[in-house]
Amino acid sequence: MEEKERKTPFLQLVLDDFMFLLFLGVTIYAVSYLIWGLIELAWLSPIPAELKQSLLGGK
Amino acid sequence: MALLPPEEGWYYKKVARDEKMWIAIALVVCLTLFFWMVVWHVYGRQNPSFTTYRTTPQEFNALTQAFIEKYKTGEMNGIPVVEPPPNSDVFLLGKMWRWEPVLVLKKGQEYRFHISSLDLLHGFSLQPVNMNFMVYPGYDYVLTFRPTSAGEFAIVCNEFCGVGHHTMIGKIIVKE
Repeated sequence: MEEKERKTPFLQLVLDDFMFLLFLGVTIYAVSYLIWGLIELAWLSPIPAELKQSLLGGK
Repeated sequence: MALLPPEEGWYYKKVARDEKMWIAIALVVCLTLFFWMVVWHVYGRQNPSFTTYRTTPQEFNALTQAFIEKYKTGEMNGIPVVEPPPNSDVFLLGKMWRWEPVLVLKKGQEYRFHISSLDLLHGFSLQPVNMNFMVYPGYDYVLTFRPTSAGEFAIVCNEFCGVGHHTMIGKIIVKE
């Protein structure tokens, strides 16, 4: 009786739901790579001014 | 997914020794591949690391045209041929459907390549050595390049870029 009343642990609920695991497996990587890419884009610097100056001069 | 659901109460059972062993093996394989990726990048002569700068197609085009004007030595099928000095910055522009300019380089000397696109996604594929990079407009991909053998090398576009895609073949000539 006591055994049956025991609440199912949250982790077991997650591990038992294979569709949810599939969802997590796709979503976690998609979001991580997206954020990584956005960070990379945000950190890009422009072409160095000296290089532009050496080719374009005062243009 | 197993054919049958796990038996009731599996969550509280101790993990069997063989299962622990397979988890450990899988983890070791994952970590080995992860670190091998870094090691191989450095020691395996794979695609070199490259810096990327933010630019605009107009700015990059202006820089490429100035570069061509500065080092132009002739023309080949209507495409300018340039011979930049060693250890200099080299500009290569991909556009529908040509690579501009034709580059004449010296064997064993180092060059800093700046590669970008004027219009849409192109693929820089150096043949026959098979180096591949994606080239987006708006980004200046910088890679250090040291030709190790003399000869003529083709730059093939390997990202479909329209009806003239198959004709988009550039050239790098490496002299002794």
